[in-house]
Amino acid sequence: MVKDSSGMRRWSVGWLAAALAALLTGAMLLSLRYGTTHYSLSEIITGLFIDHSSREGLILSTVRLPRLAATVLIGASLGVAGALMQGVTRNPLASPSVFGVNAGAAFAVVLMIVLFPAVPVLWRVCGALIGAIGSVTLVFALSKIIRFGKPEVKMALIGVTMQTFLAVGTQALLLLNESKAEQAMYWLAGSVVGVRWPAIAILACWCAVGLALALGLSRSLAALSLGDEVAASLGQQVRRLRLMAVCAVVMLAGASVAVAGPIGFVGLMVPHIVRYMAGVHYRVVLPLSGLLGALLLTGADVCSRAISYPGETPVGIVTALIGTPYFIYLARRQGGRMS
Amino acid sequence: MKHNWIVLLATLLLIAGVLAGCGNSEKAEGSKVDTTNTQAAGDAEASPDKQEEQEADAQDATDEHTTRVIAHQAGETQISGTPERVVVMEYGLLGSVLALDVQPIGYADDERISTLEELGFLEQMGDYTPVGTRQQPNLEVIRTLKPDLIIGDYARHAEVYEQLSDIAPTILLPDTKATYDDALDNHLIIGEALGKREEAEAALQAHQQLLEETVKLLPADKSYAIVALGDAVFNIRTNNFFQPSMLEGAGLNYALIDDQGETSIKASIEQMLEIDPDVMFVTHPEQLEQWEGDPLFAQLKAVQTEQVYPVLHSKWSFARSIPGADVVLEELQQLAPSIQ
Amino acid sequence: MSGRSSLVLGTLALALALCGLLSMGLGAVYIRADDILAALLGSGDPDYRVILLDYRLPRVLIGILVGAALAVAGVVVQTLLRNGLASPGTLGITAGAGMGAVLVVLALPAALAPWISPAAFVGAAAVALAIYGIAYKRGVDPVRLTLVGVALGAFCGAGIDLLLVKGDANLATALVWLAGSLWGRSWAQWGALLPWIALLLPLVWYLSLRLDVLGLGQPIAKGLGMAVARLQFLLLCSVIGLAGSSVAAAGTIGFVGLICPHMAASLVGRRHHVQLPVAALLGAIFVVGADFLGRMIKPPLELPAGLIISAIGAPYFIYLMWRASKR
Repeated sequence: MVKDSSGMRRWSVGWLAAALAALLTGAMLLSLRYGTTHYSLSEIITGLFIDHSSREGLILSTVRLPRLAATVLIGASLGVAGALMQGVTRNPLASPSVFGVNAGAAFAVVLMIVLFPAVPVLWRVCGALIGAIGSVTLVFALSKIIRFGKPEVKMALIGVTMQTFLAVGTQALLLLNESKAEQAMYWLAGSVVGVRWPAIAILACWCAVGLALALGLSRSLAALSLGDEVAASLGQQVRRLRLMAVCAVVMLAGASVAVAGPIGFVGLMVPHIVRYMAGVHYRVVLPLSGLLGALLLTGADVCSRAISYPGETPVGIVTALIGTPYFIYLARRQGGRMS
Repeated sequence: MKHNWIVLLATLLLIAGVLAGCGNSEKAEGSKVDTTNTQAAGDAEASPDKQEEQEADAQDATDEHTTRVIAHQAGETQISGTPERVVVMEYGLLGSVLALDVQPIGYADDERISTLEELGFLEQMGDYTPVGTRQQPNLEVIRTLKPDLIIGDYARHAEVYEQLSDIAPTILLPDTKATYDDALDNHLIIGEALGKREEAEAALQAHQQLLEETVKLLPADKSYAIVALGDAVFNIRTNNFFQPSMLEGAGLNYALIDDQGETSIKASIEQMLEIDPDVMFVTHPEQLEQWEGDPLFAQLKAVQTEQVYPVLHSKWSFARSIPGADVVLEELQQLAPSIQ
Repeated sequence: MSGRSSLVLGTLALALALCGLLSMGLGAVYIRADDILAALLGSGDPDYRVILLDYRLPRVLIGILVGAALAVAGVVVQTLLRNGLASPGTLGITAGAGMGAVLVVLALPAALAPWISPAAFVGAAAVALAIYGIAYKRGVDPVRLTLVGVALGAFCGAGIDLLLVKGDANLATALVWLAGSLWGRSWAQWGALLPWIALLLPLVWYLSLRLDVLGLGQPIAKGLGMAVARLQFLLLCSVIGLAGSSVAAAGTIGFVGLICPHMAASLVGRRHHVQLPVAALLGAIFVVGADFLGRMIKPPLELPAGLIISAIGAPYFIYLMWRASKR
């Protein structure tokens, strides 16, 4: 019986991965094809590989391709980071933002927009990264000093408090600098419009390390999800494991928020959907979360070009608008036992 | 756990103590402001400049019995005589008031004067008492200024209209959501309220003339766009936005027409290339540097023909008033010779 | 009620009275003590009288009501959902109210500007009831309610962002409202707020024993013969009334509903009979004190009370946890 179901599962996981990959490829093509002007497949191939200097070539290689790369990388990172978080905290509501990743980055970016309006994009990316890492470090340090209740709950409480504190700083900055608010609000809603290659390079480096670390941890994480005691008795060094998982989360989520602003819901929702479809094994959940995250964000980005055409809607809004109904469906269907 | 409430109490007492300290140091400052206010009030009432007195007398003679009813967005307000102690709470409205040679005694300057400076208002303003932010002007301070007219923005201040009316006759006009037509009306209404209807009408005529002259100076076969530049997104103003609607109304060919009432759209470089105006006025020009090496930005017609003009965001995006529009028009006249 | 609880209650009441007096006495316009007395006795500068009685007094009173209501609503929600991270915001009240208000401020014609408050209340109630309705499936499971609440909250949050990103005029007005502020509140808002609070606070306190039982978990509560579903719905409606009317009066002041229950519990324990009044007093002190600070930090600027609460409350809460961990 057990063998049967696990055998079934492995088989269906293969198909699931293939299906997701196929869908992702489709979404990637759509993302290259649709925009202000629509390109045919031959135009895409010519523009990308043969003629870079024509207008089509330039649009494809300097606008749409980096944007596509950003959505795929960020979607995958957020999906994996969310799955890691939910594993580490054993809380189905955990997402990278619980550690204050988004709040820290947002505060840093708004501060930079207000103080140094002309600062180059790359500096802004670095600033956001520093803000995100700083905020997580603080949350972690505080939860080291403070012993209060269960470790997961404590960390979440401190994280939420930290978030509130940083969000207030951001709000105050916006309120007192109304003329800058327009620009900052757009970033705060999460958007991949106008991402350029240098930013992608930074993103790719962090993501590569973060993803490798996450996949390396996946086997041990499965033990952790059984509880600290069980994990310890299985020979896992629980504290080191947790620390490494958090490092991976910060790399993945921090780099994402730095490039595209806070994009919610992907990290929260994708792991739930994956577990629903493919079971709870981390060696399966992590890579599939990455695939599904990339698919979801790429799809949302394609939609975001159409919602208020000719304007661009921040993709972070679209993910929440698409994601909520499905999430609610899951919450109802599973009778509240989502884990 | 036992000491928690002691800590709480101590914190509160500490805060209270600090504030009492602030209060005391504030007291000196506050009372200083207060005395100057009462002095100013006294000046106006008892011993003003001779010239002012004569003027006031002359106006009193003509206006003494002219009580007029001003219709505005929040209702109708009765104003008699010539208001002299005016409190203003938004940039565009301030522009109209200053243009009619009235110096407000109070303005909601958000405690920052840089925007006032950029708009050229600061030097015209003389001494005024700051009354806090435009979003939340301080009612206590406004009341102690003893104004005889309050001019506010409907969208921001409608919630406190009754409280403001209790202080002084209050008119609320559209400013943050003002269209060009609104601004024309605003100027007339403010003129009427200040007892300077003729001046206001004259200003409108002068403005119409300036507008026509300016548009004549600009090539009619070119398309124009005003863009607030970001590092990734172009915030293009549509023809519904204040400055574009004025120029379009006078016959200029504006590049982005939106019939759904949007005042601006956020677009990527792709979309910008599609719109591709011949002449671009760029606010937040500090962002231009980031676009300089961009091969697609270089393909824009306006960039290729060097028709990108950096302008001030405060002038080309705020200043939603007739005098504010005149500033833009004058700048356009100066730019006109190089626009081809 | 034990001696300790009475002591805590007395001290907090005293602290609240102190905050209220300070808030009445100080402001952007400095009024001397003798002028205050004169104004209150009916003589003296009429302007001072208006400032004291029509500007400062209603703000203090509304602050007390809002703070108490939000804190009590927070206690009820945390018991209802059996989750220490829950707050009225978890039931979508903050997001719903924000959605309603931002819609009025940014998307609808300017002529509707005076309708912010009613729109906020309607938004809060609608979203909270929708969450309850969606989560209802042969009774309401706390975890399911939380999940649906978080999801719909995020949905509304995205809607708010969409409106904020699209409408560039008036952004600051919307942001101030979202931060929560007592600026410009008058007796009219007091009149709209008082009936809700005066009715619902005693009701919730009356139910405190049942809340204690509910806190033990649904099976136990059912085993003791309680009509759990009915009680849950009644409590949910009370929370909507309390938090919804507060948010409609003062904007989305957050954080009070999250931390006051924890602080009250650490002061007097988790028996609702005492926890509720202590939390109410703490909430009132927070809101009144924050409004006072917001007015005094840099007069004549008025900083929204909601900002001040989070700015001071967050570090203080972390400090409290640190204290608790030292024993």
